[in-house]
Amino acid sequence: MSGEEREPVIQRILVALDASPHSLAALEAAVALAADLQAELMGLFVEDADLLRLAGLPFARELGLYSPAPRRLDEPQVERALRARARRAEQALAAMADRAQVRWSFRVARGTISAELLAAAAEADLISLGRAGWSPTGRCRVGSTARAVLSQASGSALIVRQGVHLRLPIVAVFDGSALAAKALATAARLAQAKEAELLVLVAADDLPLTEQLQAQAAGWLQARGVGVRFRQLTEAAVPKLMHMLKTEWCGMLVLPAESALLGDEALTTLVEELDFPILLVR
Amino acid sequence: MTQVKPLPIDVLYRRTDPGLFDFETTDQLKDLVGIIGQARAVEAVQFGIGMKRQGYNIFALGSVGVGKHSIVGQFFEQHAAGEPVPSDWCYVHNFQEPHKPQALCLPPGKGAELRRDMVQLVEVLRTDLSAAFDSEEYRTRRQAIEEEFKDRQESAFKQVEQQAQERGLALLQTPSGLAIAPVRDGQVLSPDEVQKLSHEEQQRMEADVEQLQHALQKALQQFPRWQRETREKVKALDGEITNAAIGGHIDELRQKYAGLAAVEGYLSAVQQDVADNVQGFLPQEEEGQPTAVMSEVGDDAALSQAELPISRRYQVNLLVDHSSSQGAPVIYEDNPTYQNLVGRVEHIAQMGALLTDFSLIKPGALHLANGGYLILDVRKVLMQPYAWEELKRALQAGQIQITALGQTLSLVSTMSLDPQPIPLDVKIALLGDHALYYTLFETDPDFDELFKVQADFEEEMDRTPGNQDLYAKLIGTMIRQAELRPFDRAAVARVIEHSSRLAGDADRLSTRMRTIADLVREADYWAGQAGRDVAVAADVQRAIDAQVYRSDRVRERMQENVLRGTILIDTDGSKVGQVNGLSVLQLGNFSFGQPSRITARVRLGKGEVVDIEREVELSGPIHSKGVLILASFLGARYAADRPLSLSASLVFEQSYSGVEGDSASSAELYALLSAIAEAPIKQSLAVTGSVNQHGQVQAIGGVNEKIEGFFDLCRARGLTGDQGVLIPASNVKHLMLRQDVVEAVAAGQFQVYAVETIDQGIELLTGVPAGKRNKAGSYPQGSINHRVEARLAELAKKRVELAREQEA
Repeated sequence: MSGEEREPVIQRILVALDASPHSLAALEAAVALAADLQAELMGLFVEDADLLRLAGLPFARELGLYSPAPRRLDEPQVERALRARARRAEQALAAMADRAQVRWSFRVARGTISAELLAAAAEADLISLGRAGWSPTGRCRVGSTARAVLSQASGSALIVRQGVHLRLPIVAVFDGSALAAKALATAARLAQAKEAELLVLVAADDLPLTEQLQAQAAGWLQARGVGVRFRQLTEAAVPKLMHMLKTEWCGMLVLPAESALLGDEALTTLVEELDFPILLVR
Repeated sequence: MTQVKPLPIDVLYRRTDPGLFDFETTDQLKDLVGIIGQARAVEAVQFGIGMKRQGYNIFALGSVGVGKHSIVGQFFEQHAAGEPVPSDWCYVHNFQEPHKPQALCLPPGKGAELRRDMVQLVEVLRTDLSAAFDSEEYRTRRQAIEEEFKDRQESAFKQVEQQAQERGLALLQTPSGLAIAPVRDGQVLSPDEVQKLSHEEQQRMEADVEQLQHALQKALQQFPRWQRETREKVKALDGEITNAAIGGHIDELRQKYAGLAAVEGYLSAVQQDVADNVQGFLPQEEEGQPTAVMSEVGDDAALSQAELPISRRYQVNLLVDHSSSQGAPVIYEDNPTYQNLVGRVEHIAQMGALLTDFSLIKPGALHLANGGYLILDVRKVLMQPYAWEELKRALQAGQIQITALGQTLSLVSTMSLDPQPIPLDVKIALLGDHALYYTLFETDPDFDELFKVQADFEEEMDRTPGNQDLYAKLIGTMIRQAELRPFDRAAVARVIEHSSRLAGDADRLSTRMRTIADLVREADYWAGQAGRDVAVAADVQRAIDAQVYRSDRVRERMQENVLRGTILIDTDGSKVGQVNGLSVLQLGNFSFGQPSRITARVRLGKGEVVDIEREVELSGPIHSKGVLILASFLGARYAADRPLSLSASLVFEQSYSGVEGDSASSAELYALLSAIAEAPIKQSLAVTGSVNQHGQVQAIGGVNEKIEGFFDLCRARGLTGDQGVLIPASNVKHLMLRQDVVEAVAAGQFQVYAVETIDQGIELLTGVPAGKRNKAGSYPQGSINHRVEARLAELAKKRVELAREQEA
């Protein structure tokens, strides 16, 4: 493989916490990853500045989903609610991390959520976050925060949806690019930690290239003693990939964050449509 | 004086001549078919079986060991074999009222089939329903319903959001809901920024916010209705899918059980219930996984599952299974507790609570015997709390209703069931003794109504040659059944003789077959000890002797007390006012005779005969009656025309426990006559027999034991040839004396006299004629009667004189 031969290092994992079900799933996945990789967890709870500003307005009213009578919204009340949420998030982090014997820290920041997250993500090697935050409909579309992080984060990102756990097998997509090599190395790391077999989807435009890439990956993985199965993806289109992922049982998908083959829109679509945790490697 | 002669030997013991039998050993005998000596009971049992009306249950009454159980069981089995196999009974879940399990009646064998079918159905349903609910069709349709709901929500939000955007506002999530906020450049305006706006702008903004809040509120108010609609749609979809998946299976079963309305009804109920509780059949989903609405919608269904899991809900509790039965059942319940009779409802402990359901209903003997026959030991039934009442209730109601005893008595308040009663059609035979029968008859008003057939078992049968043949066959059958050595005919004859002795009557045979069977088994043992292949009479004798020896300790000690002079009994010489009476002691199943000294003293008095036993309440009422009779005899015979001016006292010497029975009343009378006439009585004789007011000696019980009791004592002291026993003549037919007694009599060493009157007895005892009244009405001079009469007259005269003296 190319000059990216050096091992990817994931030492610090940032978990975006808002105590929502999705974020708890993200926390659980992050704890599992941290335990496998012996990384440190950094929990971050962002107090939404927009909300606090709104609470300062004299005419601010709140409508409950189940009790839609307008209620006065004031600053102390919002502060209290946010503090309570932060506490819950911290408790969840503490409980899970302690159980898995993972080092952790927790921090509360105030500001615009995506900005704060991106700022914090810069200090971490990986950010783990829920697919969406608190949502009135409970729908699992990718939230605005996740969208922002996916497009702007400098490090790797793990996107998890509510009710989903990290599982085996780990599936990596390999298209021969440098980033894909890094993704493959990360996946191999995880598979090693789990002593599990890796499933590699080799994606290329034509068959000979696919074969070549597969041989390359196989050799590299063999050197690390990682068991592997291959699937070939000769037509590197998103629907084809998704179809393959749906037919193969997949526990976790490791993807290069940018792929010439798949295209830019591909990521969002995949994150949107696939239910299992997705690790985007950058 | 024409003294009574001793009885000849041939009446002392009636032998069974082995020569009467035409077999050598019992091997040559055919099995006895039928029952001997119980014609009355057999007819009653047959009548009871044939009489199919309510209340014609049988009460077999007779002593222990007469073969009640085997005879009743045998007849029941015979009849049951030819009768139809009764229905199977199952309990199934009652989906409407879970605490009232439903009873299903099925043709024999079908119950087990239905149970299998239901287990299979649940298995099939599990896979089929999982497949159906896992199918692309279901998922897509369900997703469509849920998406519709979300779309509606989303478009409502979108609408509000759009309106908001148009006015420079945004929809914002708050910790517990939604709010409308003014925004600029993607950020919510801070209070300062708002302050900077003009008054009009501020007012417009506030108005806009309020308007949008109103719009949002309206949108939110729709949500619960949409949610409900969604839930209903999902439920309808579930129902549709379920019915499509299970309809075929249920229809198949319905066809199989066509004609059994109850089963068809149950299957329909199952179908409905499966549709209502389909979630229980699906693999448990991980928390919050696929569809959010599903977990919300599924909640109420999941709750009702908690009451009874799917694995139990559709089970069939096969209470009575006749799949391998032939004929009607014959059940003997040897532990007839309340629960063993009517069945019970068991509980399982779950998280500290006692829970139960239809599958924990267990059958009782009534269930198992339903459509057939049930044999119960009445004593056991009566000894079990509430068992008798419950048995009667079931028979009266004609149905079996399982009620927990604890619940009936309000002792426990756990969850309990009220299973649907099962119709009862059973013929019951109660086994018990006479005392219980008559007690129940008198004290229980329901008894007569429910047990109309009395099968009274004979204790004895006639000892005719024909019956002796049958008896021999019966012994042969016993031997074969118990796989014992064959008996030769002399041994059989000895058993028959012993049976006669057990009956206490030379003309009868005992029907207590258990005792006979014991004797036969024991004789077989002794034959084995002696290394014989065929049991002979000596083995039977050995068995009898050994039985006696094993039970003999107390008798031996008592005799020892007499021999050592601790208890004073004379067996020679003569004494005035003293006679040897004879009593029988019963210890377990062993009874023996015991002589006791009875004495009488007389003096001037007012005519009372004082029985000292009675004065100290050591005597029973019958004994007292005997004493009063003899007092009356005395007065009427000897002092009819003047006051009986004597005071007599009678006592059983050295008797420290109670005396009961009137068999000593003749002895007491002899002692009294001897005392009055001052005529000594020979102590070499012992006396038994009761007496009536006319001086006739009447029959008593245990005559053999009494004779043997006195004989044993005399033999221990040495037989003199004078010794003997006076028995009532009416007891002669009961004589079946021990071989050694018979031999002593034959050798002239011992005598047995049969007396009919007191006069005969007193002559034997005193050697003095009793005397008969002549035409003038007086007794011959010197006779006992004369002496008595004279003494009484003298006493009367003295009393008159005394009275005069006192007056003067």
